[in-house]
Amino acid sequence: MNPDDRWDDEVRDAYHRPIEGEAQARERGIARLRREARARRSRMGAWWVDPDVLRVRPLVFAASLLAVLVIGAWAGARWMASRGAPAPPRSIATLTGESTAVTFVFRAPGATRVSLVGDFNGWDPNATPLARATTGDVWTTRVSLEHGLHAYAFVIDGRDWAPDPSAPLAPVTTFGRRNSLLVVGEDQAL
Amino acid sequence: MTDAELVVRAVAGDAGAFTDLVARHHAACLRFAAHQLGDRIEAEDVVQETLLRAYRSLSRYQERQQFRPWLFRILVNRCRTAAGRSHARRLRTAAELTPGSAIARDGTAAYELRSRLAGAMDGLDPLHREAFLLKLGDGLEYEEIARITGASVPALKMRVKRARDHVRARWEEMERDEPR
Repeated sequence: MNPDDRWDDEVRDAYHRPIEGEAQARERGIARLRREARARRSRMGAWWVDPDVLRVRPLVFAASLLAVLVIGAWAGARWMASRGAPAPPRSIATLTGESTAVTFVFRAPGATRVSLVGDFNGWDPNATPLARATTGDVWTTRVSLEHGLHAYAFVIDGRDWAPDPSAPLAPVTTFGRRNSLLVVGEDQAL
Repeated sequence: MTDAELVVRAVAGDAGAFTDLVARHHAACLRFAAHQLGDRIEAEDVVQETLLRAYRSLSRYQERQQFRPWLFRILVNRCRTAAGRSHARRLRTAAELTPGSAIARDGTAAYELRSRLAGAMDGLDPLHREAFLLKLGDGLEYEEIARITGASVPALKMRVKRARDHVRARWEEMERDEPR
């Protein structure tokens, strides 16, 4: 063995000689770590029961709650839509408080019963029946509507849903069907 | 059980697995810190800090790393911090750092050898000292020391060479001065 290697071995030997109190130091170290582990478990357990552990500002809490509710409502609506369930009727009327009487006229050959449904009567097929005109297939009714935008449709024989062919279609689908749009009031037009 | 297996268990929340790791590596950590800092009591404190930090950082430990180099990287950083923290105190007590005073006396042959090494390293700056101890003391490869210290391999080779020359000169001087 050359002198350099021998000297390196001597140094390594000196370095690896045990240090006095080594075992006691190790035991102290392990005891300290056990205390740390216990404290950590205690902190994690307290999280569930101790309100002081989790501090949340009221505004942050309120905002978080609102976000959860909004996301929940959105997710619920998506789920309902994915299951094909009808979404609740959606009113698109923009009302001003004033009213105007509007006459609805609908031609329905062969129908025995026709009714008007819309955001103004809760989309109830029994709320606003049309009367057959004296001449054949024409049905009419007169309804007082608040000024603003309304969505509506006709229901034939209680089951067939039909938009008004003389009015523009609404961009939204209610109950999976197309509705018509009507603007009531002098200053409003589609 | 290997270090890697113990680490996996410790990361999963088994505190006992971590104490097994500590039992395995504590002596090496204490030895390095004692020689690096030249103070047995301070070394124990630093090792304690190192182990606590390691325990709290286990979630950041990556399995591809080996546990001991990872632990030593924390230890080296803690030693550097401690050296800076106690620099003023060291200056005040420099006169007391005669060979052998750095590591507590226990009256054994081991003490004689340790004290000679401590005396021979006296005057080495921390960076040369840590490179020298990791290379000659712990026998690590330069690439491993580079990962632990953050220094480049050429820089480490230079530090080890200079430190070795310094320590050897003093070591041989002390040998010559020993009473026969």
